[in-house]
Amino acid sequence: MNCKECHQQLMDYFDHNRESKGLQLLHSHLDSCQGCRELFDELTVILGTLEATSMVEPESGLEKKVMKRIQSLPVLVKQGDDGLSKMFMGSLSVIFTLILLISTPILNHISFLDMLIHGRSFIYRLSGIVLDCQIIYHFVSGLFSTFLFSLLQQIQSVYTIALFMTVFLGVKAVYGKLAVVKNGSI
Amino acid sequence: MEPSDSGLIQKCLAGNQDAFAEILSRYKRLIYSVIYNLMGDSQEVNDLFQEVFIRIYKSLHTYNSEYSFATWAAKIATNVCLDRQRQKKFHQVSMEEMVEISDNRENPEDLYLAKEQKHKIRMAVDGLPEKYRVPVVLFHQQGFSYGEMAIILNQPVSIIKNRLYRARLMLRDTLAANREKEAVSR
Repeated sequence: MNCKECHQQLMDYFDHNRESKGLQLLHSHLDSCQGCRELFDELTVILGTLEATSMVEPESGLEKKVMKRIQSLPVLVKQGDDGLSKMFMGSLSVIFTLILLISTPILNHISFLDMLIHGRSFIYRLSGIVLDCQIIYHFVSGLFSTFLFSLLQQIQSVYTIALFMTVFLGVKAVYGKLAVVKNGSI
Repeated sequence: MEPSDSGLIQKCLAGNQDAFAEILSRYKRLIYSVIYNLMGDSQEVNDLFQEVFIRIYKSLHTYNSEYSFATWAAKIATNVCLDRQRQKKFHQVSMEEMVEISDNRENPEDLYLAKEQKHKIRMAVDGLPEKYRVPVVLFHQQGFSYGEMAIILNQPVSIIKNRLYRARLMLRDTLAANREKEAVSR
């Protein structure tokens, strides 16, 4: 065993991992190496002293002070009751989604399936719009009416974005409620 | 049969504040010791003791029974102490105000020498940078395992092991340097 290995073994020793085979090699090295022997002796004193003076008794009366303060605090309630607002938000999101799902095809005179397809194609178009900077160009060039016309063409697709956002918010609210019901983690 | 920690916590969450008195009684020494060994100053320890238990009480709904209560409570205590130290940016030791478990040595001179040694080691620990001091306190003075320290400090075990290794060597070097200074000054 060399000194580097001895240091590692010493750390295991002071970690209270004292398997007999490693211990034998350690003591054998310590018998022949003064530097490591001194390190071992010094750490034994230092760490032994620390471990012997670990527990400290609190002053008397401190417990009473703590309980007095605890008793002045509001009584704890189970966190499930606080989830009422989250349930409400979740329900609101679901209702809003249903309204959108029903109203969008009616207002646009298209079927539900067409609406979803239209939404998907909108996403593709939106990417193109961002790349082409059409809207920015129209706005900057002052062609407000053209910009408005383009915007109106996209209005029916905004319903689809609102639909996805609402579903997302609804899922998030339900997930939040589930996380609240479960015991929190450290 | 004694109620379990989880049982007591459920009672607290159901509005029974007296159940918290039992939790306080069980963990007062551990928490007081953690705070004392990290902070050193007696008046601060008493204040922080109260603050930690208030925080524990208010956070009971977040406790996950998969982890031991001692580890969870020690984590809160450690965080409170470190926050306070960062605000203060210094800490002090008061040997006269130590309240310890009784020492078995009866010889007054031995008692004095033992106290001197403890004081020097304590000063050396207090002089360590925070990231090295905290693992020393938690492992050697509070008896937490590497796994528990990883939870308390929110660090991987490998990093904690490395820091503890370096902290031990730093302690030894500091104390050796102090001894040399004393020898030269005599």
